[in-house]
Amino acid sequence: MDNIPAAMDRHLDVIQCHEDGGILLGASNLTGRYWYGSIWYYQDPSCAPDVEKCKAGVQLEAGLSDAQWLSSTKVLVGLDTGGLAVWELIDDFDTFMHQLSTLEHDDVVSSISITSDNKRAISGSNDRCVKVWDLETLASRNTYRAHSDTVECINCHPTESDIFLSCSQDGRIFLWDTRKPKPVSIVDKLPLQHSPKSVVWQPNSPHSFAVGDETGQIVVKDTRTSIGTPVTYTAHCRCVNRLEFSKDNPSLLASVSDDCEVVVTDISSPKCTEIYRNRSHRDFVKGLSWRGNKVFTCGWDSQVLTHTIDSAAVPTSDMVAVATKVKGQTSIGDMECKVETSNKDMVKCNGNNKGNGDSMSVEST
Amino acid sequence: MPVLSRMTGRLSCGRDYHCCPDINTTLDNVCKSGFDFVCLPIVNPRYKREFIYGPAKDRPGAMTRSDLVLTGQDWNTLIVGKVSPWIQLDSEVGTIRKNSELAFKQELAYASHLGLPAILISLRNKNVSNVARCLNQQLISSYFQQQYWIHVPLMSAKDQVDNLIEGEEGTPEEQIEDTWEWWHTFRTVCDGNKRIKVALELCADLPPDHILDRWLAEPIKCVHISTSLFMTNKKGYPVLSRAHQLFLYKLFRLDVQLVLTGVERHQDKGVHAYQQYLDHLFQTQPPTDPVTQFAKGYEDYLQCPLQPLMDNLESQTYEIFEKDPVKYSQYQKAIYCALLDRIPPEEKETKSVVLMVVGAGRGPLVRAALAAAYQAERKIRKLYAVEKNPNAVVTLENMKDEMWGDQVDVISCDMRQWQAPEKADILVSELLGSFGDNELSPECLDGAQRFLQDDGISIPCEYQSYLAPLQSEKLHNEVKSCKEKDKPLEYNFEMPYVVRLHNCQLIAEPKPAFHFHHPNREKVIDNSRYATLEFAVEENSVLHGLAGYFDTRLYGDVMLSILPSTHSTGMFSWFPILFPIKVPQYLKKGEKLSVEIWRCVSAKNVWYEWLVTKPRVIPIHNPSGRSYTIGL
Repeated sequence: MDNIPAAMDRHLDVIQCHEDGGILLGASNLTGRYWYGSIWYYQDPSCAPDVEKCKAGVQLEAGLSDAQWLSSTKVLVGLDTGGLAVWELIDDFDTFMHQLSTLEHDDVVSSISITSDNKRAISGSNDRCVKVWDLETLASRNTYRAHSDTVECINCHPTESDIFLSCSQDGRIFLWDTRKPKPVSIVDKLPLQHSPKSVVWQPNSPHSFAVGDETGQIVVKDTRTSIGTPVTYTAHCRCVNRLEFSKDNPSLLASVSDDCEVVVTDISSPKCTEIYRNRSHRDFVKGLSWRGNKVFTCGWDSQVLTHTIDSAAVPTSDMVAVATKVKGQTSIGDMECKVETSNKDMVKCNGNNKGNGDSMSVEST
Repeated sequence: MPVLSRMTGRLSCGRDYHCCPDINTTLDNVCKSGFDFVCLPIVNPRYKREFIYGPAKDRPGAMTRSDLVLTGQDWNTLIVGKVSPWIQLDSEVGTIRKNSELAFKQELAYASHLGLPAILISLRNKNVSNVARCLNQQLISSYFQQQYWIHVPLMSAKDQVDNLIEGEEGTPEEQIEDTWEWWHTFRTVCDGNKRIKVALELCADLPPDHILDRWLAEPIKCVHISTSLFMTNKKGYPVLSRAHQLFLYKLFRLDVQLVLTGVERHQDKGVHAYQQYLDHLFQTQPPTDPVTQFAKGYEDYLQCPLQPLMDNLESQTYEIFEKDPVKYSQYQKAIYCALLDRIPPEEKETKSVVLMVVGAGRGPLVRAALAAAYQAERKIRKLYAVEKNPNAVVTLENMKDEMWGDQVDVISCDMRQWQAPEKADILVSELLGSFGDNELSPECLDGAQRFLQDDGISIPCEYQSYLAPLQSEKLHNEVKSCKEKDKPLEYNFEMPYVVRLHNCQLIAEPKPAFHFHHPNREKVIDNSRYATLEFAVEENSVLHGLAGYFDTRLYGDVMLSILPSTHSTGMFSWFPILFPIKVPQYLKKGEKLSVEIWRCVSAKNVWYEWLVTKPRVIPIHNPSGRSYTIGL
């Protein structure tokens, strides 16, 4: 435990649940004299981000945008330097031990994702490249230049190890199949209006995915052209930083945003239902992770929040008022927000008063 | 070495970082690796800020690191600041634009506060009007002499992607986006502000030469080279392809600095190996020709054309021109040929000629004539050296005393007034200007041919001027900045300049304009001229003016030329002439450019009037010689 940094870096970018109940936290210091980062392991999520109560922690050479569990003890980190690193928790999760690292991207690594067979990782970067990595050696197997601007997000298919999604500031969403000589097919992003920021596959449905854009609009649709009806709603009034479906109930989609809010929406019907909204973060919300009925979020306000989601929530009349308020807020700041039909429906049939700031079940630490 | 140093015989090369966890260590490493400066983000590139809505706009704390982490000296000599990549001033989303505008202002203000010598702003696509507008606000409100380097890729990222998309082929060549247009829009919005420079990013497959050469007419301050462009040589060191080398050689002539970007791809050799290689390229660039060496320091420097008729030249001016290694040997050759033609071998003992040098200056043509006669074994019975400048006559009289003796008569008189005692067989003059007739050689020689035999020879016997459409932001700005207080705005755009053309590009090859021949035996001599020239525009470009040249046939097949295609090797007596235009004209590929020019003559003076009529007509320049005339 001797390599634990003395202080937590201010900007919490990553939170990832561990299968045993712990969490991985990724933090960066984006201002001040040094722009370093750190990763942390907490056995009890409610202790984060208290440095004293961490199980393990280690300082990194730079900030990080993304980190993923490779196994129950290994973590892959995507660094601002353009590098990737594998760290292993040894001594019963007490110490982070450096395993492998590499530096190939010419700019910040924005996103990483692990293939379903756990053998490879895909990384995306501000250098416009997508890279495929062999996890055993951390050697790059492929470098793809298909996007023409910053790659914002990569998400591997939950069961097909050769398939993943990417989205970019160039406005496009790509579906990749690395077995093909021309691995990319363009995914029609409509009715998404603007540049996609975050993509995620829906568990248990091989073709369905969600995408969030730079204005807060979220679309859930099929990767195949003109199959199924896309679901769309505007959950936020700023860029969607991360999206994640609940593994237990894949119709629940959580989103976090630069508007500092955390939203969980039930997308099981085209009239998607907002069942949870939380406004306790005081700065951009960056990290998001589900476990069971709990959503963990972290952000640049140095807070780690736990949100308990009751998916059986029944819409109440109370909620209408809250939702109206939400709608009102989206028009602040000259938001070019187009209220979708589904959004209007959402207002009518919103969940119970989980969204109300006072009565929510947030375990703020 | 500072970012903005002038070329000092070595390359200035910087290192670009997208991420800089510890600025002091970064600076140390960069200096140890042999780099001269470093490009760093002003604010952490991921540190997005909100200015409009929500709790995040009240975020506490500093935006970036303090100015105290480096000395003032380091900030303002070693660091080029980079604007955050998430700032999208030309986003289609209103909130993103507004938020970006505020963040952009904040970063520029802090960069000014730090006193950074330059700031890099990247263009990613053709939508640049708002970023240019916002930079313009900064330009007009700040007095600090900061430069803004507009980072433009040679090829758009869209056209550099690999062909990976199912059912799509690569971009066909005719659809490749022209990134020069991005820059052109940008600088036009900023009205060609001189503090805005180009930072050109090279790409793996270079575009064709005519696209590359057009960039040579732009104010390129630095060139970004990614480590990904380097290949590995046999010994494992990073090297560039031949095509990249050749383009860099052209860019070196514009005094560019280089910036190395990207991660180290030859890690065993260290990042120093890239810097060493680039410096090696700089040191081993092909040697410049003598004319370029002579012109060092005169590049794009505007000079008013000499008016030797109205003004007397100074000793130093004579001295420079007498040093030309080519001009007088060509004259000697021409006189030699003329003498041989004038006196057949069988008469060489009995026949002799009278030769006149009109405008003898300090005597170089007298010496050339005497040497030619010696070489040809022909006799010059009398050589009259006519010179109107009394100061030069002092030199001529001394030469006569010390060397020439009675063979030479020095005549201190204007050739147009002189009453010659006899007629000459050969009349030699050097009255040509950069545009041939612009120092009034036609008028002078018409006046002097009175005392030439009917079958006499004039050297030169003919000359031809040429014009070519020219693109040069630099020269346009130079003309703009030499505005004089008490003169109207258009004044400096209505006169020609003699200039060593450098940071420029010819939009089309030169075409002939005016022709004169001597002696002129026409019944009514008319030296006014008119020419209309049509050019095909091969690439989108900007017309900033017309470049003027001339060539002359001295005698027989002995020529002098400053036309680029036939330029007399090593001759430096004439730089080209520039006829500017007031408002730069954007020209589209495939358009016809039509230029008209007049040489007007009155009793007192001569002047040019010029305009463009196609594709769009512009007002006539210098009507009635209101801004510029040449005095008779």
